[in-house]
Amino acid sequence: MKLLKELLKGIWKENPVLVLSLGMCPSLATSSSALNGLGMGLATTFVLFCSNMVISLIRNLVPAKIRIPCYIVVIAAFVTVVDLLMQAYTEALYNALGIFIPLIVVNCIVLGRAEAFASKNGILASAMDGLGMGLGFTLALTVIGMIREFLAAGTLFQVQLSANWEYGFSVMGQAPGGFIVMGLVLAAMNVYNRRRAEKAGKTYEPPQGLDCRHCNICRLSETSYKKSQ
Amino acid sequence: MNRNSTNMFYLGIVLCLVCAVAAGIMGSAAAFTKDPIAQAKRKKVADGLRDVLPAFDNDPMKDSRQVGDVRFYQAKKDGKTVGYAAETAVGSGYAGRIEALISFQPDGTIRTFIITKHGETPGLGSNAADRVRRKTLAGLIRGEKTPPGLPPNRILDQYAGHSKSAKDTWKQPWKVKKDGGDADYVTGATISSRAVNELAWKAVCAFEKYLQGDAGSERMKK
Repeated sequence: MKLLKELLKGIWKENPVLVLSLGMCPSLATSSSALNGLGMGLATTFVLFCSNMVISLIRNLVPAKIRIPCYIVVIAAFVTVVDLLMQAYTEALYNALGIFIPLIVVNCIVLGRAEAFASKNGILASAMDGLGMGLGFTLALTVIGMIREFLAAGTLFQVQLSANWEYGFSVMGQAPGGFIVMGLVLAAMNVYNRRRAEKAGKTYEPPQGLDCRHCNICRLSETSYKKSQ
Repeated sequence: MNRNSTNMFYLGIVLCLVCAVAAGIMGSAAAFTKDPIAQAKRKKVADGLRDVLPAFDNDPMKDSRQVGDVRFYQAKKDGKTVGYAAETAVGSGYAGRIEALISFQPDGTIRTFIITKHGETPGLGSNAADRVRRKTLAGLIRGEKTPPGLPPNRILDQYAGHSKSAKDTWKQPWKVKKDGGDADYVTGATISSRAVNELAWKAVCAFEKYLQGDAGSERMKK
């Protein structure tokens, strides 16, 4: 039961992209289409799952002073394995994701979970945490990718939805569209969480350091501030 | 093991051990995937050749020759040449290098033109480079089958039938219409269209030299 909780928290409640706002760079860059987002998400999930398990295994062996270099070496080894496997068996996806596969090494989700979770918990809990966080990352990337792909080309997973979609909103497939869609998805997530908290009769506390005080798209901090007055 | 040690040599040895194990894992992964990766690369070229050339029964990978930095493959059927393919690349795309396969009829005119690798902007420059067969939702529900052959692309297809011979209707060297030439281009993606045009012109020029080289080597034999 506890293991299931570790798995599920990453997917929704502590979603690395949508709630923790970790790993923004690959999220923006590889979510240009649903398939790219899904591929990047699954590759990261594999790395997170494996590195979390191994780091949890060696957590009591590695001297505290050099734990970060050791974690990075473990993560880099798994990323290299994924890189080679993708090159061998999914060449098209490998070409589409390009530089972002090697860059999984420096994705702060992976090192973040290693340091914050796997170095303090048992192997099963760490494996579940890695899998959940990875799936949460995959879910966020795929959803953002679907929105961007639909707006840019009128397709979902490269299947055209309407017959005559000649001119797409092509900026959505590029970096600015990534920022715009990401912002709107984050805002929607916050509005949803706030409504749910209000229905339960509680004040929604934004995740620490993510209170978007300077953003007034959803007026989140303003309303919660008024309520607490 | 001592978790709180600050002895530099001890830390160094532990880090060395961790790296050695990681290197072992990476090395075995590299050895394991070496053949599949080489195979995937060969398959990509072979698939491309099958796409651009008419039916052949030799191995064009073996019947190939380099002219400058363009690689030519010769396709034969029953001992007769049915076509040539040029594997070429230019660095003048909007996002750097573009690679292409261009096939020629035995009479020297361009048959098919495909871009095998590019980084052009999706939805803009990619319109000049990608041959995409869009699947539609309605088509999927009705169970439509994809027609055989390559999907069309107006920019790439316009080069078919042209050659470097004096009889050709296009002004030489080939240029896009914006630069005073005859080739159509994608509005808003002139740089990508120019690169595509440059690929075609480069292949045509190299093909002329390739054929001359062929004739030369035959004379040598006599």
